[in-house]
Amino acid sequence: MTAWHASLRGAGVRRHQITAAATLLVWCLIPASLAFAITDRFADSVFALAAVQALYAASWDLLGGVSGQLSLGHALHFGCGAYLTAILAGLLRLPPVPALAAAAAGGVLLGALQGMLTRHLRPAFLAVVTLALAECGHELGGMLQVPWPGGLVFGGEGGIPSPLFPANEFGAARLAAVVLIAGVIGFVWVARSNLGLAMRTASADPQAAAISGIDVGRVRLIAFVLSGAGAGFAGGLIAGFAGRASPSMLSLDTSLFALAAAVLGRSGTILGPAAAAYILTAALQWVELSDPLRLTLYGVILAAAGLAAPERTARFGTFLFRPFRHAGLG
Amino acid sequence: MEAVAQILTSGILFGAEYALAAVGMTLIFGVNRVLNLTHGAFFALGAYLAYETTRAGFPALAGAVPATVAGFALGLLVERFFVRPVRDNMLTATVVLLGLGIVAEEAFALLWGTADHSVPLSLPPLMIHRVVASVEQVIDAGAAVVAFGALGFFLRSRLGLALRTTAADPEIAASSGINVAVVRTMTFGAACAAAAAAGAFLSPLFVLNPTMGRPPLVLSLAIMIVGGPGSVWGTLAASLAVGLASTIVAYFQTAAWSYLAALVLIIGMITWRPSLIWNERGP
Repeated sequence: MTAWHASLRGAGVRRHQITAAATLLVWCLIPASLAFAITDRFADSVFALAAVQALYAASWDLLGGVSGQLSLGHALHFGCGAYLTAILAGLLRLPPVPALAAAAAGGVLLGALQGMLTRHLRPAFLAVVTLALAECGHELGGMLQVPWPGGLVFGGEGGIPSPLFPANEFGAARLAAVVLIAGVIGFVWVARSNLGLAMRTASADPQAAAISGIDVGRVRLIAFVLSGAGAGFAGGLIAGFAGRASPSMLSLDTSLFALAAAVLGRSGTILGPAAAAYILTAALQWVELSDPLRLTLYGVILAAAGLAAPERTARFGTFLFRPFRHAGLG
Repeated sequence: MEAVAQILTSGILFGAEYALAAVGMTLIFGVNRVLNLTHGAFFALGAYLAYETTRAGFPALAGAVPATVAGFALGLLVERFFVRPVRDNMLTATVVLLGLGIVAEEAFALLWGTADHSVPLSLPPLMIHRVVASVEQVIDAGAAVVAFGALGFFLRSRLGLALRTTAADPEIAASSGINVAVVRTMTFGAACAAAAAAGAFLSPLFVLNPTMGRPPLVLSLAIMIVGGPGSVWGTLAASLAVGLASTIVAYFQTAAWSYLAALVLIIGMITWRPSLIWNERGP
């Protein structure tokens, strides 16, 4: 390669890096400006919720999109983070910061558990195991009964209470925006680092990745752990914003929301699914639909998105469904 | 000894009924190459129709007739208008069906409300050597066994050959004169009918609400993968294993733990003994 070719290639790489950085900057400015510029209480509560859901979707995308491990049970980390925060901040009266740190740590531990159980599994089995683990969490969340001071017992389908933090909607929106931006920058950095490259290589061809010296199991485990930390932290925030941790945070709906955001955004980019989750959550909250209508609209959006853009959705699913291609009947 | 016999009887009956729901998922996957995430909604539809049947004064199992008819008709419509346009893209079809499943749950909430309903057992229980079984459940399991037997014979018939050829290689099937589109549509309809019938049969054992189809959907999906995607007999074996595990736990604990036990069993089967369940034609 001549020096001229090398300089051309270097210029191309630099231009690509500048474009990526500018895109990330513009992306981060939008939730930040919305949270810091608008001081309407309802709008801020909507932005807070949207930012948390975007962080959750971004954390899934590191695992499912970048690392190619299509988890159908991401709600496990989210719900666990919410429950840990509610118990630590509500029952044990810990301040929010250590409670949120514990939520992230809970997500890390569950991520490690999921990663250990699934790192050698083929994609379809991984999807089922993550789904089954989250369903276990959902069932246990529904059965959980926590004795509270004053002789009260909280739990069951009603969930358990958490102290509200920050004190108002403005604080919640700003905190959520800052956390979202930090989380998204972190996930994008991981995705573009050597570790991210190893994740993509292991996703595209595990055998080739192993031959080239990548410890595929370890890389997959790290993806689960990082992703779990993000989802756990997001769950902790939602418990503080909503004042409650409930089994619905561990439900199939919550897991499928991340998948839907990945389908609507562009999976593997981190920014796309996070933006889709942000817009979807904000739009559905903004129009103040009742829960049934919101879910109906959510279902219609999913079906319509699939029918309108089949090719894009299909590219995303190639990895998950490749092993099924030769299924027969017998 | 009587307890063991009771657990075995209940577990096999329960597993046979679950197999009816799970085999529909397997059939659709084998022939249509689509994960039918509306399966739970069809199950719930069957249960609600059984509920309406009991309100009209008939036993719950009579609800299997309208459930099968409605499941088949709606299954045909879903295949024609929502699956066929996106069939080439498996995930797209899955996402579309997920959206439809959510819409269906909200439709159930609109029609029957969000409150819980229950379906009573109207026939007296059967007692053989101190082993008790509900007559309805025995009939339901018998119907499931008959359905499986019929499916086994069907798969070996001339029409069944068309089905198996379509599942194995749609292009070869089409070049040999098989109308692949019709086979796929009819299979989808029949599988949805089976899910709705299973919902009607199992309705007395469930609390009816709009989201009641989710555990059967999760279990059907897991049973299909554990049994081997596309393997009808593997599905039956996995269903019986799940049925027995659920019953053993429900016997010693509360019923709520039985779903957990089934999930733990599935996780264990996949993570600890994968060589046993990896189907050479599947993943």
